[in-house]
Amino acid sequence: MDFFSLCSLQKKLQSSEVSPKEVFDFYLKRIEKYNPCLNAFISWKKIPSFKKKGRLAGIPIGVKDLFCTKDLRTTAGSKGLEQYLPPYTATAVEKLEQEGAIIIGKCNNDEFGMGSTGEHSYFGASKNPWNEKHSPGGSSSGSASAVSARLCPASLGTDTGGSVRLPANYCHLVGLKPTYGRVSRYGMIAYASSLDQAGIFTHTVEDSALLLDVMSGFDSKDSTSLKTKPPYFQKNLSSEIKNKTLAYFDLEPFKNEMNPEIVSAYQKALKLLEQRGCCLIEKKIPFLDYGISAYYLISTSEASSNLSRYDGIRYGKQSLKSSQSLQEFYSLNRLDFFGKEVRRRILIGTFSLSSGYYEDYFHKACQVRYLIKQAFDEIFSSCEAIISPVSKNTAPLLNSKKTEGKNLSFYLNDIFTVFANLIGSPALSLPCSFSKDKLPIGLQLIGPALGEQKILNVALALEEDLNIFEKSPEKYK
Amino acid sequence: MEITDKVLKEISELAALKIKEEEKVELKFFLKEVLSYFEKIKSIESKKLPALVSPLKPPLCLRSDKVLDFPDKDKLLEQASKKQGALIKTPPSI
Repeated sequence: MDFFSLCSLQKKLQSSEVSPKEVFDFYLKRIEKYNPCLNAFISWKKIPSFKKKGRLAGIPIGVKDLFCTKDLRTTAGSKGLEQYLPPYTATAVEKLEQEGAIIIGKCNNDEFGMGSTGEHSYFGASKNPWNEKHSPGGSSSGSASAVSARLCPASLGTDTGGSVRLPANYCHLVGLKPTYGRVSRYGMIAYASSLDQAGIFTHTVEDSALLLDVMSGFDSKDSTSLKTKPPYFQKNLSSEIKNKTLAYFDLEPFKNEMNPEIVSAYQKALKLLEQRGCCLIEKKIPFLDYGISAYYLISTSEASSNLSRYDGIRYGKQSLKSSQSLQEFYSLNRLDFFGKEVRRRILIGTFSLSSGYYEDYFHKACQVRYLIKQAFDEIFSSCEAIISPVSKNTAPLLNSKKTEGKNLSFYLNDIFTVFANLIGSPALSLPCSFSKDKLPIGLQLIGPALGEQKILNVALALEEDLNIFEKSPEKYK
Repeated sequence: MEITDKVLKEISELAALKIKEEEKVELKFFLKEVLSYFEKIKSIESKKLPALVSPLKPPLCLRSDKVLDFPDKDKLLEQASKKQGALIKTPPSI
């Protein structure tokens, strides 16, 4: 039994070449064999229910543990929600189940989506199947690790500042973040409400388009859900991109920081696009020096508000230590509830929203966000999509002693990914190359709002020309 | 940007987060480093600019303020560590 892409598995199931039970057992065995090493899943099902009809009938899919699922515990990678059983299922997950998909398990992640290496999960870090000494990226660490090691053919993640695209980049996967509002956030545990979006991990662009077709659409339970009817992404896929104008980011500001192999892979991809007949124009990243600041001030401020509900009463356990006031009671509960990184980000957010600092920090960041949106709108007025690297380096080493105290440098690594979240644009990471030490190198495409088809089409063209999507880590073939 | 003990205490009270004694020095250093970097945005002229709080046009529409019955109250109560009837119980506070 040898599955690779979700679409090829779909065809085998539809033609009855394999049965849903055989497929499920195949992946369950792989999870039980490899998860102790990879730590990609926090929990998983052993007894599925098979729905006969639907585009995804019989296909097992992993789901990041930030999505509420009625029959499986949802932890958000946090000690505080370790035993939390949601009374409902997230809309994005429900849509997959309505099409017959089987949610095989809940994938590990940085606590509440806060992190970019997977090391901030209460349940321990996931590992990168390409080299287990390295991080799979974060915060959707387990989702990427699971698909990359073929523990499931696809998975869901969430992307607030790059948490789908960065792990996809590190794990040789296609990682798609749709336009803000395209996929319902109902049932998605909130980190930063104006930045969060559900995302998809797959091996191929077509698989991504299929899942986007299933998950997109208006949801009355999400007040930020777009009413615009989505197009048929899979049906409209085309690698014919001749005469399309594409912008690419100038990497001069990063010349001393970028891994030269990533620069080389980026330049090779640009040449392939030229050979396809595309017109390429170079652009500077707008407000380069301010994007990270705007992103972290906005995201941590929204997080400080969203996470204020975790008080040990409605969620989590109450501290056994005695308290002298209700305020102290909450404080002690929350100290037990959250890990270090979450507490750090709540403190930044609280500071930037507080009296005396609000104008200079949060409000200013929102104004900078307006300027960034204007600048990107101007770029998109003259091109279909923007191409950039996803990160400055390949997957970092897993070593919590070395990462402690280096928060700012980790935050600055998000420089290529945060802009898409700030402006609400769709963005995608796809496999591009490998480094000399066999770590994956990806490429990012950013589109205008509602422009998923544009970036999927360019991605399909590159996928055909690069022809490396079928490579798998040796140990997990 | 200087983070004093007083500032740290005020933020932690606002955030309802107890700070461990042994974490104070590290937290002050972290906040100083990160907030000093973020202060860069102060250099941008923004007097007449609107604040973009959502990438949507138009931004957030609010639901009507109606109380609705939640169908699975019992499931919610099952997860409370202490309860009394249909109420979640908390320790008495002074």
